[in-house]
Amino acid sequence: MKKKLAIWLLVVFFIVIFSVTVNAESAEVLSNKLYNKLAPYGMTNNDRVKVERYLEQYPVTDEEADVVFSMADQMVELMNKAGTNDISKISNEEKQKVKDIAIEAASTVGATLVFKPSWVEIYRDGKLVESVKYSNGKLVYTGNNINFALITVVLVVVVLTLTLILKKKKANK
Amino acid sequence: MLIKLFFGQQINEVVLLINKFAIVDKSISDNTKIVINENRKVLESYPEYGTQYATIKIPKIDINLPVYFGDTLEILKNGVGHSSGSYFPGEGGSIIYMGHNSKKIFRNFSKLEIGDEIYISTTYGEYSYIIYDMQIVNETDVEKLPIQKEEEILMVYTCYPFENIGYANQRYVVYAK
Repeated sequence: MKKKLAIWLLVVFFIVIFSVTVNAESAEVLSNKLYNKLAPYGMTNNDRVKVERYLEQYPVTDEEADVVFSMADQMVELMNKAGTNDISKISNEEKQKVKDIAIEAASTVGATLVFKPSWVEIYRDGKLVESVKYSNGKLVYTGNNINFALITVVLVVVVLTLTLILKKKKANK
Repeated sequence: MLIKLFFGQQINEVVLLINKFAIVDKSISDNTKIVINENRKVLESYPEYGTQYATIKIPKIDINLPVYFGDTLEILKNGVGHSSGSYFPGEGGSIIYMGHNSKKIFRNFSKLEIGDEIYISTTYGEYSYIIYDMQIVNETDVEKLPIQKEEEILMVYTCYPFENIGYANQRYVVYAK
């Protein structure tokens, strides 16, 4: 899915900027620039806010920001060569290349990536800095999950009880 | 419906009991050092992801809950989550909070009305908002919670229907500014 590519691109971006210094005033400009580049690959406005926030905390120079975009371009080029913007459709070898870029950048600047099933956690100095999630375009689920298990249990009990009652009735006839 | 009819009260009691144990009060750790740059409308530093940095109070429905930076399922077990893809109170943009539709959290959202007040007490300042709209949206209607920085708008949502049995694919969103 193209959103997963955007996630990895964002991860690479976050990692690279940890090692650089920037004009704080350009945080919004830079995040907008990155958003314009990656929006076709699924970067959302929410992601843009995350980038802006990190640039506020970890300023980067314009020159060093170019490094970020060149890394993003590498990944985009890889996708273009594969003929798709859906990362799920590229080969495992190509997926690994994308992941390797992110891991290498993280290692270089002392940050750690923890890849989860549907999101990536970014740690620096042992602290969780951000969680970049594959949101699948939905608002977070805030329903009462207990109902699932509870209803299932209740249903099973009801069915078993009814079954027993019916069996007894048949036996008594 | 039958199940609710026969076991409704028991279900509610079990849910209440489990929620009581599920919510753990975590103290606001180093987030007391957070400072806001009022001129630039940005925080000088941000809370660690997953930590509490504020409380949300809605007097109309007697809510006084911790707010955590982040929106993972683990965070939502403890109280109210703050989407890290939105701004912070005081930064002049869109703020998105969310919480479960349990009785301990946002079950009574249906009682809120336009004009009701929401207070966010952060480690760096106090902020108050007035509700101006409520909407029921589909879970995929993310554009109904727009991210912008022209105006400070607080959007708080929970799953709908409030007493869902089975998967809830709608959200009840309260808009305040």
